[in-house]
Amino acid sequence: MEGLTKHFPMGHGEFVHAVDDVSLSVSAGETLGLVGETGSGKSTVGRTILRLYEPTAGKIFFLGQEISQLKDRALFPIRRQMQMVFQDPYASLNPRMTVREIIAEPLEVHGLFHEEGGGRRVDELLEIVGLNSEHAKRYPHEFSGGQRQRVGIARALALRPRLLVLDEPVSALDVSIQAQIVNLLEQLQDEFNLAYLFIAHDLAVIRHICDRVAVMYLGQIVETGTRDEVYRETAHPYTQALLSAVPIPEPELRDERARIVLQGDLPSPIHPPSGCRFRTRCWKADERCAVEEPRIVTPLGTHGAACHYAESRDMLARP
Amino acid sequence: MSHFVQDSAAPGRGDAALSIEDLTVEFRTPEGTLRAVDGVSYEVGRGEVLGVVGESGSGKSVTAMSVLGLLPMPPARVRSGRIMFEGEDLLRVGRRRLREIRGGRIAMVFQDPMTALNPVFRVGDQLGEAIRKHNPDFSRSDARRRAIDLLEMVGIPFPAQRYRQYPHQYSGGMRQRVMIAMAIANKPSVLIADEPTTALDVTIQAQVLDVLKLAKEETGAATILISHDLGLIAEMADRVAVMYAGRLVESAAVRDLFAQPRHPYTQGLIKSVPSLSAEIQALTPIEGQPPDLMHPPSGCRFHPRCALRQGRSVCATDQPPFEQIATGRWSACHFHEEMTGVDGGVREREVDNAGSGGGGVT
Repeated sequence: MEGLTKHFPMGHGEFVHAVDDVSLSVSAGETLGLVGETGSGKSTVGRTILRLYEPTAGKIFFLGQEISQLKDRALFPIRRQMQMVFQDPYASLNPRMTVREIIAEPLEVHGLFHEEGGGRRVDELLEIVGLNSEHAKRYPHEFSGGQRQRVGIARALALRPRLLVLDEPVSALDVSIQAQIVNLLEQLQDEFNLAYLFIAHDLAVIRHICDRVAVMYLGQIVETGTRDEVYRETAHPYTQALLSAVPIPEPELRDERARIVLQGDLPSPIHPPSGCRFRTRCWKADERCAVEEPRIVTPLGTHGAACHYAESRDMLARP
Repeated sequence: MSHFVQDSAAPGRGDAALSIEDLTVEFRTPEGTLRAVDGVSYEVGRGEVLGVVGESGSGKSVTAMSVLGLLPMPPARVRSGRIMFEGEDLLRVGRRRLREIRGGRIAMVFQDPMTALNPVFRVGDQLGEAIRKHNPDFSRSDARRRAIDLLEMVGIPFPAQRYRQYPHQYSGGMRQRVMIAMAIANKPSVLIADEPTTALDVTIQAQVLDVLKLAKEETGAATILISHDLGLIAEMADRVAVMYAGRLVESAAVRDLFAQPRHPYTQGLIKSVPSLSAEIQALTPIEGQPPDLMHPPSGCRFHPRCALRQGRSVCATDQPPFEQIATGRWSACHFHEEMTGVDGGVREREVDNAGSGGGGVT
């Protein structure tokens, strides 16, 4: 996607600048992590890519084809290949449908149920996600959170997609179950050469599963690079603050780590700050930041930060 | 088990500001009786932060809510136990006495501050009201001054203006600061924080944790910090109690617990969490599903998911006692002595067990 922008009208001629000029790409077999806090626009990006929202501006390419302007009928066959897994599997599964019906539904909608082998395909999908055909006749409420997420994943895989947009797929799950689902997603990616857009706020989970990472703040990407570039040569002050703020389960480091505690809250996305959107909370900001919007430049390689004063720093170095 | 003196029945330092003894809480549901807390004992000392870790359904919050009589009864019912605070058993004092203590000597911070603040009253008035309730000799203007001081202390910018605003005009992080201000307004001797930062973003969480540390220093309160987040516990707690399916399974000083867990559940939790900095390795999840408390597993409730069990029958038949296994350490595992290496010895054993784990779904 190039220059993707999504503004939501608020009435009175005002707009929420949910996503502004975001460019990203993800290849087959690769996981791109999109990380940010509430209001960063990361979920809006995911939904706009799938054309669940109409983009305000910008282009979306899928397998070489521009899909940003396609109408419903032309979009229909493409939708098959791009599927979404949601955070809360309870809210995203119809409580009145059995698991068999839930997983078969996308096949039926696309008229592929018989072609794909009907009930056998449903059993196969259940097995792929670590469930079995016994589970098919049950309803969502009979499952634990982790099992429901497995059902959500089976449904998303039913149409043999090329891209999965995973929006906080493990954040509603208990810690011991999170690891099961993360492992399952990794295994499925290897097996089917899937491209993942993995949207999450948990920096440790993102690091574990992603090849490349993009960090969003107030509708824009502030830093992007490979996993190690973003986590070990962190260049944008916001990413630095974010990494330094994550509590880590190692008590011996508790007073030893570099910590940056940001001041204040996220500014309004209706009237984002001029220049650099992060400047109101940034300790490096000066006059230039208020007037000149920093751009991500990646002269060599893949690592870039949208900051006039970007400097690489390893926030996770051990003292 | 003869190398140390058995110093107490309940895990603690022995100078308890609050002690919970053998607490059992049940809920009556249409399907039957559910035992949410089953014989839990712990203590928290003055100035100490006790972290209580557990996943959903572990009983960690139900235990804390029992302290302040906040459980809806029915359906909840305390079957047994004592909660001792300043010489009184809080399970046996009257409602009026409990109301005096609540928000006064014992205060609580909840996960979701929006539900704890009344949306139709100004923030400052709610804070002032909380102060006056426990300090009847305060005039309105005294209470107002104290409220503004507190708002300033917890880092609310322009506290005098903010005093006049309503909760919806505050961000989530600011509301949680107000809750902390309210909790410490009357210098409590016990502060219970139940998932105080779970609803907040990382950068805001860092701000709120700083405020919580400051609050603890200001008041010297004994703090019970309830969380599912091992990072938060490692960062804040002095001592940790781990709960699973309504029971305590382990308790130790925070460094000991993370360096050398002595219960397979604790170890499984630690290994389930991806690291932010260490070399990336495959995660080792705890197999299987969380237990159904309507039909809890027999014997050790963790046995169906346990990597240390290796088919031994005693785990399925006998409930392991929660007992002291070393100075300052408690565990409820028949085979805790096998967990001695840095990695606790489970990882090696798992190799023999390979293939039997599977998806663990039934």
